[in-house]
Amino acid sequence: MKDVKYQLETFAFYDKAAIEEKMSKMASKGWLVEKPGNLIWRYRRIQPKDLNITVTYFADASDFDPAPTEGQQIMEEYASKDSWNIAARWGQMQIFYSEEVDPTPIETDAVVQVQNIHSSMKKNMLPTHFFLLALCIFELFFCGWQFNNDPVDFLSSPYSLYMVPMWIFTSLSVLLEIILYYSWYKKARRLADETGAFLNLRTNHAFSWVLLLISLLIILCTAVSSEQWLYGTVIWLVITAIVILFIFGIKWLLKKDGTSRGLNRFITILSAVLLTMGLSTIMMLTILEYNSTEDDKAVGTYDFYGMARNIYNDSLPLVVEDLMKIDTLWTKEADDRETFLLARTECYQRALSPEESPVYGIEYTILDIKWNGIYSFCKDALLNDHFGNNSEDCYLPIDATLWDASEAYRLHWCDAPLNTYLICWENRIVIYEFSWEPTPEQMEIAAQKLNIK
Amino acid sequence: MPREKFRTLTEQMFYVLLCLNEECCGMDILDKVKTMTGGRVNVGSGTLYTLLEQFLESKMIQETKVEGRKRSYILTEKGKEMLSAEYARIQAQIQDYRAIFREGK
Repeated sequence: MKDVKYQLETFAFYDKAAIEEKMSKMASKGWLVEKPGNLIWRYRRIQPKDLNITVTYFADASDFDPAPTEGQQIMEEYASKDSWNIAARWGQMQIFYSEEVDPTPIETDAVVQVQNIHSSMKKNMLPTHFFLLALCIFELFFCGWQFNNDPVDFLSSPYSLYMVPMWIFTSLSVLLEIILYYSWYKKARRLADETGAFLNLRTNHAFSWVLLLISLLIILCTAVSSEQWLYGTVIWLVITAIVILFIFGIKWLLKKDGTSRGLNRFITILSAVLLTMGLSTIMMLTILEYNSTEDDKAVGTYDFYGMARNIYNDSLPLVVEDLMKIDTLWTKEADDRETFLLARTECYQRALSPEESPVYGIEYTILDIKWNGIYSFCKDALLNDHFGNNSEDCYLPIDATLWDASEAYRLHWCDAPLNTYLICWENRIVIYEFSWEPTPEQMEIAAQKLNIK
Repeated sequence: MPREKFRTLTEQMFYVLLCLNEECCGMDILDKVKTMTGGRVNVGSGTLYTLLEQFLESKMIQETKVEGRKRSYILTEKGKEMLSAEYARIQAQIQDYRAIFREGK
């Protein structure tokens, strides 16, 4: 028979009533809490009995303390006089039990009790939640900045677009917890001041957990939307798990070693920051290295002005050979991404020896707009896009009949026309970049190949 | 609006301070209050610890002896003034009570 068991518990840190009720039930089944935690609580086997359980909060304690502080020990001695024994400690929380039928409560002054809880929360849950909320808001602003910079890229990238609801749900979950706490605190303080009674909290945290689970679901959906995102998400989750385990491990080892609270906190936080930065850097370098040389789609490599570049042979809807007879070796690559609003495919065909070939190649971006409501927005965003913030280039309208399109534009730089065209069809916009000036016949063929009507 | 700290004393604050008119250690205060009030007032161990810390910080009591974890305290002049003020407030309440019920008769 096991003497220890672990259980998932989702209590709010300050929800003493719920914790006391649950611990009493567990004691009657033969389990006494030994080590509370953020999600997983550890219990040890005892004889099943009806125990009085009480939760108190000691603001001067910390999860980084190597041992109970002197103040805690004094308080626990006072408590033992009224037959209360310490069952477990977790940061500022202490859980006591008593076998007496009606022991004197440890807290008998509601005003003091509410003050203790609030002081503990200011050291524990509240800073974490405010930090997380600030992080969510920062990420949402960053998303806004990304959208403002390149709205079409943003709307076509699952990672960018789906992160918005993810951060929104996460911030709502955190905000709800903060609001629930302050709502309780305000009522509890008033009740304690006016009547001397303590307001027991019995909240249902299901809703905030649901919001958080939705956020995780969004991450998973984004992850499975493409192989690249899946690998990226898995790596990110692994890094997060390593950092979390490392933090707990370091903190535990330093506590066991008797390291002071301040030094333990400093070393733990510093280690976490350095480890996160280190692992993230390694991850990025690994991805860059993989992308440049070990890409599964690559069929070989070639020398490009002294650098090794991959050769691809992806199937493209339009190739240079469709437009002219030319004998040279090519690399052909297609890269696509898609959200429920936009599908974007970027195609490149480049000569392996551009210095020898009269034609370097062709690049084009196909945008399929799935919701007509954003068609004009996307078209305007593309037309207003400038290369490298150079405001001297702009798209000017041209005859669209050659392209059999509703609208057609050609990019100009300082009034000189470039070989870049933006063509608008129903639900599809294509940007063509030719390395030569196409003839009208070539434009017709290029349009036929990519027009989806 | 929350009550200003120690503007009025709760019953537990009052009896803890009363016990410290003579030097007394924390543990003994728990029994003294019970005895003094015939069991009517109980000060919880957690509440006692917090009150002693608050009284120390407000200089209403001072530490007189430290023997390991056993600490003894005694009332300061400020503490005596606070008690006197509370006593005067309670007296005023008693007077008001008597005035009402005497008039009622």
